[in-house]
Amino acid sequence: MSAVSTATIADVRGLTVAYHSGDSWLQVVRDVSFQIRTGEILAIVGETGSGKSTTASAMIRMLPRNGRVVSGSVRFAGEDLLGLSDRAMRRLRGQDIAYVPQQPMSAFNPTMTVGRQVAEPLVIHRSLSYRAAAPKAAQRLREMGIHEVDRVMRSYPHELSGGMLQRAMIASAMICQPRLLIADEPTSALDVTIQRQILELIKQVQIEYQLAVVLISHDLAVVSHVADRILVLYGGRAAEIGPTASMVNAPRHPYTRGLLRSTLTAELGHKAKLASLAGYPPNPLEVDREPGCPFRPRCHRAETECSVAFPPLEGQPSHQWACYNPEPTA
Amino acid sequence: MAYYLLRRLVGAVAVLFGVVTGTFVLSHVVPSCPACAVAGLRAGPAQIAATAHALGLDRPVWQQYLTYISGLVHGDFGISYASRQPIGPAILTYLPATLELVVYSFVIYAMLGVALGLVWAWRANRPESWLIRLFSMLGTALPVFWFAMVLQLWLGSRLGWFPITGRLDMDAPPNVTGFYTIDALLNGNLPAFTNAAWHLVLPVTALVMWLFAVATRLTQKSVLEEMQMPYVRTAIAKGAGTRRILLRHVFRNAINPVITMLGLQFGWLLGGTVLVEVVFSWPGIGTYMFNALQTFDFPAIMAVTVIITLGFVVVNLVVDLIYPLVDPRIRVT
Amino acid sequence: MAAPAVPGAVSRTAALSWLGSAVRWWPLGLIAIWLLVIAVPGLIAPQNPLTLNLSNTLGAPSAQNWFGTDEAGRDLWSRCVWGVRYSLGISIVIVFSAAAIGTLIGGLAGLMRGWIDSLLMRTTDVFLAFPYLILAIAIASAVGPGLTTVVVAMTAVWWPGYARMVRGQVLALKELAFVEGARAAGTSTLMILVRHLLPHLLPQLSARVSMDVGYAVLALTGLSFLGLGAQPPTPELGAIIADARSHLLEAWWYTTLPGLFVLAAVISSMVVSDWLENRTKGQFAR
Repeated sequence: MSAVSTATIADVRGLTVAYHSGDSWLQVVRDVSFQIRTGEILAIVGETGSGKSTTASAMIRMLPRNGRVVSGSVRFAGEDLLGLSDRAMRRLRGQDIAYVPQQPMSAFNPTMTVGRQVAEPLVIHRSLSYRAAAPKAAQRLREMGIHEVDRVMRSYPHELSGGMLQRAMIASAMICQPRLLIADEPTSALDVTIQRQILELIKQVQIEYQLAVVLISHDLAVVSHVADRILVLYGGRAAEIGPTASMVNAPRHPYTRGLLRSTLTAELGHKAKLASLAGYPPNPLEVDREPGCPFRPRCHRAETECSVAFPPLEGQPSHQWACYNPEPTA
Repeated sequence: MAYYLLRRLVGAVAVLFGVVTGTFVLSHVVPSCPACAVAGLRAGPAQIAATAHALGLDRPVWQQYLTYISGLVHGDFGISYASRQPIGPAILTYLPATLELVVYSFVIYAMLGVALGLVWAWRANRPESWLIRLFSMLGTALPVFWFAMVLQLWLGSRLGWFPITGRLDMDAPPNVTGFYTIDALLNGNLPAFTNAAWHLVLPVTALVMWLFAVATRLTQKSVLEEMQMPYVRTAIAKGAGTRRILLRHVFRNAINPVITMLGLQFGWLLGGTVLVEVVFSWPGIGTYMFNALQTFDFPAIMAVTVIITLGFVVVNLVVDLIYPLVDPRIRVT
Repeated sequence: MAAPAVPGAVSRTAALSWLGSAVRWWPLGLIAIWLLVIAVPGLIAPQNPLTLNLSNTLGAPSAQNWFGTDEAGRDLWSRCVWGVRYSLGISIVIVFSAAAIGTLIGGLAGLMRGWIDSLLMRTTDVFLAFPYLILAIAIASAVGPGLTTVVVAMTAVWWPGYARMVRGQVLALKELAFVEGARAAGTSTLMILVRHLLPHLLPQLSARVSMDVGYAVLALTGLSFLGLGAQPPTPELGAIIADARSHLLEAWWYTTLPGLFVLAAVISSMVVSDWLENRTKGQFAR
């Protein structure tokens, strides 16, 4: 992996996010903590509904109208983001913290040229005109591996492929040279072959700009190729967090192990009995109601204390897990 | 895209053909005895027959139809039963007045409607939006002719702020466009311009008040729906503020259904203009039609119908042609 | 989240929920009021709208004549009440007829496709090419002024809108399995439309019908204003307002007040339509 500078750029502590539905509040993210360091890629992995996207949205205060951060703090470069004014937050977005959304096909404005949209952060934050910003946008697009830059600049989103659009999206995210990049499932909507390319691109960009990157995904195996550290979420809670190598070779949380075993990769080839995780992803309502570990219903290592209270985080500072009965170190 | 244009054009022509046929049926087939109305109440059968012959009404229907169509193609709208004069030139003298009224009303109502809709969407739960909503509802519910009379009475007569009838209190400026306001400006005649504008205020207000609500409501709804789209989130992530998002991103996408509606509402405007012209004794084709109605002058009535409908068809055609300009996705199909 | 059980709070919650229902269902009360006015106008307008009283022509509003009197001494308030009854009643008939005809035509066109669809839709297009009021005027003038004329003219103007709307909905619905099942069972097209599809069409139809009643009232009064609708001495709001023109400057009540009745009727129809649309919002889209 890359040489990691240890300066912490973002620090999330005890983040709890709830959604308002009807007349009740439903917690979707509970007490999640992690740190992001410059020059490092942290992958947040989980199933649908695990709270990973919500965590990312909460960090940049882009929760939907019915969502609220109930408790916790998000610090970026020393400032508490949750306490900032709207205007200050807007200044950070796109400039210091960049966000790449899911599904590039729909994330672009269909009636505006791609070039304009890539250049837009410059227009917003540096008060440049589109004409002045265009060369910069073109340069970024070239850096992202796009060849016919002029044509792409003048194209409309529906004229380009998903992979190209995602490269353009990343170009737009990087154009103001942010310090933190949050990529929300950047490859989920793309072909398998393109997925790898995009992830490699993110890795490249990260090295070149010494970025800190948060990579959200549901596919642990895929992100393990580029991530430096991985945080696994389940039922809104942090299940395990640690360096990729440890997570992949010696996972301690049963869920992490389950995730790894249920994907077929070259490295895990010899363990290639495709074992799927029994059961279904947790229902947020049930998780809300019942105390204890949300993974218990599906866990083959569950014990009585697992249904009493959520297990505390234990382990070394660099690799922690929340489990009363963790997998043995293999 | 040329294919798209061609299809629309052909469609419009076909529809116009239907329109013209329809008016023919209405004026020559439906009325039980058109010659009777013209000949007068006291006319005996012989006189009626003579009138019918003079007007060409005793020829076979298909022959009359062909004459009608070929006449229209050449711009000949026939002879008025009442005045025995050619209808076409008569309409031409009345047309500019109506055009002036219609154009101003349409432009003002379109801009006002869309602007208010934007404000309503932007300030969703504040008092301004409740006010806009209330006014919208009131506006559409107004009988436009009644409102025109109310304006005439209270603002025109009682308060004396605006003139009650007509287009101008002085000599008309030399004719360039037929629009008194523009012609006066072109002629450097400021008093005439002010006078003409002042005469326009009440009729235009009546029409705009009646129309703006629909555009406002649709714009608001369309904008709010568009704000839910994923690309708005992308823009927020780039640090864009609400104003930028609304004006640069959402507006262009939300405007499509509004443009369609504006085209359709032009039809309302045309109908309303007839009523408003009658109220203000405005010398336009609405008044012309009203007079024709009193005298059962079918050719004149149908001529005005055809012309007004032609205007409507043209406007809707233009709306269809505007789409590719606004939405690049349509350019390809 | 269970409500805390407090003794004595039961009747209060019951009363509040009744109030809540009343508030939510209040537009029905509006409909009821108007239906009452149409059926029994004498209830709120005891005076005869046709009685002449030449000693009190163009009288200003008073305790006796709430809206004053017209040029023939007739009580304006009663004329307005009878007038709105006429306008609303006729409009309801027109809109329902137009909706029925339009649903039939649009539904058949959507189900049968092919040349029938093209023919019906081209016809609809031609009708819709006219500005609606202009078409109504043209038809009314051709047939001759009067009650039947106006009904015919306005029904002719309104049905195409319904035809188009229903056709669109039918096109979407016919892909659903139950339609194919009905066809396979040999049900006639008409039966499919009425028995199977109609329930799905009703929510949107009813919202539109109630909205159109208001618009029809406006159009109807407009036609009467031009002299094409009700003939004297039948009181009709548009005709009354037209008569008021000659006395515009002297008798302000003659011009101003009747229009308020029209406003009231149209606003009621819009309110009911909004309410219907909100109530049935989730029910259509499956």
